[in-house]
Amino acid sequence: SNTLRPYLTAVRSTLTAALCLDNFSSEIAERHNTPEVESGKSKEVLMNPLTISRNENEKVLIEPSVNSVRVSIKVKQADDLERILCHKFARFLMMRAESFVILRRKPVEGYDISFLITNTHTEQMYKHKLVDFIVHFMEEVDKEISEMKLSVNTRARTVAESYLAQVKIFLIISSELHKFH
Amino acid sequence: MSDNWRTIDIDQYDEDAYTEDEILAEFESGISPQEADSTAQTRSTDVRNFLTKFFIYIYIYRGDLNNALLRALEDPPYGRQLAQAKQTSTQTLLEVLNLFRADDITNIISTLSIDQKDLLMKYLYAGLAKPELYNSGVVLTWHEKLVDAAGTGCIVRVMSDKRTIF
Repeated sequence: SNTLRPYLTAVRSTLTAALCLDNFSSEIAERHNTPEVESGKSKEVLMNPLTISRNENEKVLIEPSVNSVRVSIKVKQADDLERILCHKFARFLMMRAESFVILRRKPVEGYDISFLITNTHTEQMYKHKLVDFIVHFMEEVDKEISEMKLSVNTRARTVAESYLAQVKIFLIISSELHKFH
Repeated sequence: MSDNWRTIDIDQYDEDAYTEDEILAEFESGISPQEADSTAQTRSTDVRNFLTKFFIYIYIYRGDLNNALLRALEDPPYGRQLAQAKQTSTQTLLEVLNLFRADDITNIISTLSIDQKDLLMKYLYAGLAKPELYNSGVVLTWHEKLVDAAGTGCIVRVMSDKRTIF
């Protein structure tokens, strides 16, 4: 609808601002280097988490810190079937998180899917492309779930028709046999 | 032989360690919750007065809507115990934002100072955090126009400023 474009623009600009990442060694443990947003031990390197919401069912949480950003997305799920499809789709992606590189294996509480982007990722990949990817992902996941819902319904209808056709034949045959008794 | 000493958090006994409380205490405005609540209420009433004048003389007194916005952007309630004042202030400001026409938004933003723009951005994010209370569509439109005017630096300042509205 007409809030989609400003929603994605807001996510894009906030992500661009949050993705200014730098290498930062852990202050807690010597010679360690952890994503500070995941560790949460040093409070002064964490920045204010920002939520961008389109409505109550769709929102994005961006938690920035000095060397990492956690982006969590809540996807629109209108009914039970979409809930199941979204859950399965997210699970499929999250099990393959290693090849995804920036995906987190578990979503943050209250959201469907989470990304963890660290300074090593911004050093290896273009920042504007990372932002493009996440915004594109948000657009595509809605389309994917609608497509999957359509195909599930089509398959269910085909299965039901062929099953019921067989039942119909069985009933006709048994009623014919009854006539001979 | 007990290893309990391994589980002690030694940093809590370090006097020089910079804790989160100390960081936030630096940015306290020093106002008590009651004072902040009453300031927020006064501001809200002032803004409502501007808005009623605006509604009555809707074609002539468009200036009152601008005054309402400027008044709503005064005296932000920074502090840790001031949750009620923060909520009242956010509500007041977002009521004003809802009444602007889409074409006027860019004009009014260009009259704000940098500090006011930063404060407005903080309130916008406070509004986006509560989609069940506020109209996200309006807030998102304002966000887009404000980023066009103030740039991503405005967002960075909101992220890194410990004096929060939300």
